[in-house]
Amino acid sequence: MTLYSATYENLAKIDLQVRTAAIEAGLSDDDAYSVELAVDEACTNIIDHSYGGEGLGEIDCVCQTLADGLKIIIYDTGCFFNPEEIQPPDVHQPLNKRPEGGLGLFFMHSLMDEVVFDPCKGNGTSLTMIKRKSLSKRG
Amino acid sequence: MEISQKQYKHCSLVKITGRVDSLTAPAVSETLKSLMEFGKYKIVIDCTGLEFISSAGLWVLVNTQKACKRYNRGEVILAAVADRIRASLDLAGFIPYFKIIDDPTEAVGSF
Repeated sequence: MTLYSATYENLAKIDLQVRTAAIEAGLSDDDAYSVELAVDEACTNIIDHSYGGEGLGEIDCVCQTLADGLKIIIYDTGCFFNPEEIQPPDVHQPLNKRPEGGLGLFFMHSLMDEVVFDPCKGNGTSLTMIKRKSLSKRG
Repeated sequence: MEISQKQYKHCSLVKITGRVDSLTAPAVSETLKSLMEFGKYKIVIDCTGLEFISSAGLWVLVNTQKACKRYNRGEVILAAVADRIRASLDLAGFIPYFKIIDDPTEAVGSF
């Protein structure tokens, strides 16, 4: 478990933690990048939306090696995030009709095998993401 | 993240190395905006050393492309894009909006 102040400056440190854990769990370089990107998007959303700005809370990141991949649990104590309230982006829509932003949750679901949001007791969110090893890479 | 630029006769070459995330994306945006403020709308972005880019960074590239292509005054060409970053562009639906050339020198010469 590692606790970070929820700032953009700490995104690189959080990403390094999860990228290192992904490699140690036996994920490929490409899958480790996917994990890093999904976590970066998740933590950016926590800063921007759950806390409403930088430096207004903390992010707790736990990495667990699984037999077939990696589990990451990210905790925050900001506003609970209900993913069902977010419409997925239409990536086939012409650019001039697409609102800016809104790719974070979409990237998380596309890059990870499981993405589960749970409310924490009191306030905040527990986000669990799992990335399984690509079949060709499994021993 | 480091960003540098070089002017050629027909275009500007912007080299981005390191990470582009919510911390560093604004600096990339400012550099590209200042080029456009000086009337430079033909831009090659050399991604040789680009290690990571989040959706915040992808939107900076897209917004710059939209501005450069307005009134047919230019465009952004991406050069030396790593496969994993190309995959992110594709996931976001942005590939159709960019010419991607492997060699930065060739990209500069294409203008």
